[in-house]
Amino acid sequence: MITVILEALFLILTSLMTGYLIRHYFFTLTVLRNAGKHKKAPALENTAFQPTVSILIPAYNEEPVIGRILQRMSELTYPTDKLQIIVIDDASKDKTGKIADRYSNIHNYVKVLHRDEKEGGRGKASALNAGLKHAKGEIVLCFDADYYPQRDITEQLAKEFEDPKVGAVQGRVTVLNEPKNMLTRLVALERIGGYRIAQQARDDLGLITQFGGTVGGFRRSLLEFLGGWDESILAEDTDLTFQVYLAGYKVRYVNDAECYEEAVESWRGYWKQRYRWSRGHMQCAFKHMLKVLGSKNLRFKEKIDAFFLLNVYFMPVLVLLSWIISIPLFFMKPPQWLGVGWAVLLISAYSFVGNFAPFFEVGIGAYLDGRTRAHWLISLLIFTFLYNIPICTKAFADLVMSKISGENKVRWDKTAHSGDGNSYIMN
Amino acid sequence: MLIVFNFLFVSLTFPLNGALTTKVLMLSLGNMIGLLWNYVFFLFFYTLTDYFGEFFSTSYLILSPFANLIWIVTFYSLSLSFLANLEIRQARAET
Repeated sequence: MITVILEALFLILTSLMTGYLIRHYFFTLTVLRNAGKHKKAPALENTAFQPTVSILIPAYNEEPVIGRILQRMSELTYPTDKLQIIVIDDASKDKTGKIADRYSNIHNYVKVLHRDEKEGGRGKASALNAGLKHAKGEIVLCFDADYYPQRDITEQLAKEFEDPKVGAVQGRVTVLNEPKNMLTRLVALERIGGYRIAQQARDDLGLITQFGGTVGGFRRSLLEFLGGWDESILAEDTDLTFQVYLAGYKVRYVNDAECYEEAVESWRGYWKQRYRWSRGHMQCAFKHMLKVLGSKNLRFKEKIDAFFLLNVYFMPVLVLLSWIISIPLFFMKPPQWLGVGWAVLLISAYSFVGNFAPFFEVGIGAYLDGRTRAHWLISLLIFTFLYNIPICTKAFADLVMSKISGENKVRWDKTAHSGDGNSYIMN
Repeated sequence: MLIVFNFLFVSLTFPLNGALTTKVLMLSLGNMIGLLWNYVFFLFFYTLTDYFGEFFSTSYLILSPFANLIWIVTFYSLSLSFLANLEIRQARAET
């Protein structure tokens, strides 16, 4: 009897993982087929559509990096009379506010909001909501303080809003400090798989393109209608993605709108960041799953993709569970199909790395980016996946405990930035 | 696992730029490495099972796909790196 239950459970889990594998295989194939079709779009200089844009930059103790992004903001090619930049100094204890004030004194379109300890320091969503109250642009874009965008990024992102059905837009994230160490190199590979292939394919196929919290933005009217960022959710970006789709709008991905980020440089920092992402994503799964499946604004294929997307951070936990189930099955009386299921399970281990992108997806992404040596490290992505197993398991356990205890208050663990990325900038 | 390798390689590497002959040669090389790898791995566990018992026969079943993934992922990645290099060199030669 126990064997039958274990077999059934194992079969269900491997079927689910096969679903993810097939999904990502089609993503890779789609981007590969469309590779020649994605030509860099011309900037907006000569077109009539130039909406007013407010850029929000939440910053909490970002002294090493805030000057870098504000310098770049002052170099943007978008007309400054249509631009508003709002820095939210979220009760920083270092010189973040002073550096931002310096830029504000020079450029009249840069505004700095200083939040004191009473109202500030409560996480990114809270800071963004404070900034939103002062935003006047038709479009609201957000950038994290450690990011470094292209000069024409505003044009690249804003042009998508000419289509009235577009509610949000997402640009591409590339790692600035990639050569720093092994971890930053692996994170760079993750980003390639996640953005160059997964996001691009979802956009091409008309599925659920994800707003990643930075290098992107919203139609302000829609954002205000949705009530801004949900401060009780750690993945406020994923939450808004689904709210946008449920409201009948879509999110567009613009691969040409490239922005550099300073990736986490230590495994401890990686743990904190991924724990926040996984717990927040799981919160979104609980919040949106039923709404998504019952929504009339989503097509069938979007619902399927939404199901996979919402559950993606449960996968490392389920892979672990499958391994635990399958080992005794091998030693009991293994059925014929167990070997195949086991093989699927192991391939899955290489399929939930790189923003949960399989090795072939990361490889093709790196190839399309014209990378020649980045591929050498793809085999090592198994380690980031293995590291994700305890991270996601802890996030899941903590979330379940908080549901049981009714204690839903979440703590935002900020990712620390060293500012070492500055040395990699070549204008 | 050789089927998995061939399927992925043919469907995702053949559409990339580069001479077909190069890709067929790489595919053949991959298959040879795979066969050799599996043969050695099988012999190793066959010997262990013969000396120490059935436990290693089951261990072979468990570890075999993992051992295969090591060469599949590595070979696939290096092939892409090789093709990307080839493309860049060709582009440089043309300019």
